[in-house]
Amino acid sequence: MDETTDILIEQAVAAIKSGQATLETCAARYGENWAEIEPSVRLSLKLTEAGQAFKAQLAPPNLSKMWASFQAEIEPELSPAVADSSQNPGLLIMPTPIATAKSKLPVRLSDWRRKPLAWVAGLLIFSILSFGGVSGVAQAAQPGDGLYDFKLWLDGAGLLLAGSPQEKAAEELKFAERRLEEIEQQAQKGNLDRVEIAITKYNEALNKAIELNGGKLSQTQFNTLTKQRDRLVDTNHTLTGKAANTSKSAKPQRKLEELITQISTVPSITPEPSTTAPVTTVSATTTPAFSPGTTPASPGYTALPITTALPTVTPEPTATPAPVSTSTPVPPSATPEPVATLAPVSTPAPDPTNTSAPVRTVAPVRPTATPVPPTATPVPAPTLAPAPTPTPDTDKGNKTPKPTKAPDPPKPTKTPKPTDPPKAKPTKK
Amino acid sequence: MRADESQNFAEQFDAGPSLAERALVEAAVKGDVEAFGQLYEMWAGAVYRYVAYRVRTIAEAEDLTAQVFLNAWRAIGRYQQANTPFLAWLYTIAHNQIINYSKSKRQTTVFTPIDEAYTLADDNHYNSPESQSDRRAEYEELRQAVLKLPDDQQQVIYLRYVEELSHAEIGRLMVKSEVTVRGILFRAHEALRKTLRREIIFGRND
Repeated sequence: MDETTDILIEQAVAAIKSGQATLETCAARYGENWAEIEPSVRLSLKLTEAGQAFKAQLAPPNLSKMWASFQAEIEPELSPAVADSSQNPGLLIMPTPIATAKSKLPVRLSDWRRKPLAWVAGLLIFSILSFGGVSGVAQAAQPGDGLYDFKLWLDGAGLLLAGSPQEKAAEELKFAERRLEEIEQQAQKGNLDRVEIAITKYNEALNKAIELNGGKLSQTQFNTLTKQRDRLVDTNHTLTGKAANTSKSAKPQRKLEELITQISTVPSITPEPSTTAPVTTVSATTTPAFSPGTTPASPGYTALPITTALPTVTPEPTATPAPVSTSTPVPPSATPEPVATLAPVSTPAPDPTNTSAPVRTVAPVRPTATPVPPTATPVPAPTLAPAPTPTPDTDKGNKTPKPTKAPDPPKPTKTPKPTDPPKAKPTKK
Repeated sequence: MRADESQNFAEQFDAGPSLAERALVEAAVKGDVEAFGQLYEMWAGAVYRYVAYRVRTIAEAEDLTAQVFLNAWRAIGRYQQANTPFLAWLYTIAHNQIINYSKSKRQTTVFTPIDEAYTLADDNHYNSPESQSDRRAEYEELRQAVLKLPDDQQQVIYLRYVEELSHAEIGRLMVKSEVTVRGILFRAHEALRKTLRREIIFGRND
C-alpha cells in the first residue's frame, strides 16, 4: 500500500471522528485522491462506529463470578495451607472490590465434587478390583507369609454367613481341614516353622469347633476328625523322618503329637442323628453305663481311641437285643432301655443301638479304667431313672459296675420308669 | 465497558507494563495467587471483551474468560515476560480457548446469526429505537465479516477499532513493527471491502 494513501486515510478518519470535517468536506479537501481513499475512510469509520457500538452494548463482566469459578478450579491444586483461606486470609481472596462481591456468589464446585456418586463408584470399583487381586495372591500364601493372615481371614469368611453354632462349628472344621493340608504340605517340604504355625491355627480352629458344638461332635464330624487324626499321624511320621536331620523338628513334632492326642480325646457326639425312636432310647440308657467306665467328664461320649479310629461303630449293630440277655441285670423284657445299659457293661458288644451310643461301647473296651466307678452316675442321670442303679456299681469296681447292679434291674423292668427318663434325656440333647 | 473504561485501557496499555505489573507477574510466576488476582483484576475486562467479540453471549464470554485465566495460571511458569506483554499472552490463550471452544461445541457460536445474536445480547445496552435497528444489523454483519478474516487481521481490526489502540500500540502488543501492523490492517480493509456489501460501506443513501 502506498504510504501516502495510508496517511491520507488516517488523517481523513481522524478529522471526521474529531468533528473537524465531514465526508463532504473531505471530498473537497482531498480532491482527486478522494475517490481512491473514500472506501477505506468509510470502512474505517464504519468499523470504528461498530466497535464503539459493540463496547457500548456489551454488558460488563461479572468479575466476581468469574474469579469464583477460577478459584474453585485452582483450589484443589494448591497446597492445603494455601488453599485454606481461613488461615491465609490474604491468599485466594480477590482484591477488595471484587472480593466483597464474591462472597455473595455461589462457589462453583469442581467436577469431582459435583459428582459424588461417580467418585464413590470409582472408589468402589477400585476397591473391588484391588480386593480381588490381593485375594488371589493371598490364596497362594503359606504359613508365615505376609498375606497368610489375610488368607486365614478369607478362609474364615464362611463363619460370617454361618448362623447356628452347628454351622459355625462345621465352618471351623473346614477351616481346620485347610490348615491340615498346609501342615501336610509344609511337612513334606520340611518347613518346620511353617508346620508349627499351621498346627497352631489348626488347633485353634478345632477348639473353636468343639466349643461351638457344646463340647460334642456329631457323628459325621467325629468321623471327619478321625480321618484328620490319621492324616496327622502320617504327617507325624513324615516329620519323624525329617527330624533325623534336624533338631529343629522337635518342637513342631511335639506340637503335632499333642494335637493328635487332643483329637483322640475329643468327645464324639452321640448319635442324635440317625437313631430313631425306640432304638435311641435304648442307646440313651446305655450311655450311662459307659460313661462311668470311660471318663466321667464327658458323659455320653467316648474319647477316640488313639489306636483304633472308628472302633465304636462296630459295636452298634449287634447291640440292641443282645444286651438284654447278657446284661442280665437290666430287666430286658420291660423296655429296651434298661437292657441296654447293662448289656454294654457286661459284654463288649452289648450296646445295642447303632446310634452314637455304640461309640461309647468302644470306650468300654478300656473299661479297665473304669475304676472311675466313683461318680459314674453323672451320665446315667441324664438318661433314665435307672440311674439309681449306678451306685451299686461301685462295688464291682473294675469293669462295668452297672452290671453288678444287675440286682437293681428289677426296678427297670417295671418299665414304668418312664417317668425317670424324661429327666435324663432332655439334658443330654 | 464504557468509554472511560476503554480510555483507561488504552492509557494503561500505552504506558506499557508498569513496575507494579512486572512485580505482580514475577510474583505470580512464583505461584503467588494474590498477585495473580491483581493481574486478573487488571486485565479481566480486556480479555472478556476480546472473547465476547467472538462469542457474543455473556454467559459464554464469562465462562471462557474464567477458563483463560485458569489456563494462564497453570501455564504462567512458562511465561516469559521479556518477550511478550502479559496482555498479549492472555490474548493468545484466549484465542486458542475460543478456537477449542467452537470446535468442541460444533456449532456456529462464533458466527452467530444476526437476529439470534441480537436476541442474546442485552437489548438494554443497545437502547435501540426502530431507526437504529438497521444499523445494528450492519454492525453485526461487519463483525461477522471480521471474524472470517485471518487471525492476525482479526486481531489488528479488533485492537484498532474496538480497543482503539494506535498502530504503534498494536505493534507492541502483537510484537510486530508498526509498518507490519499497517500492512496487516490494509489487507484486512481490502478483504472486507470485497466481502461486505456496498450498502454496508457506503450506506443506503449513497
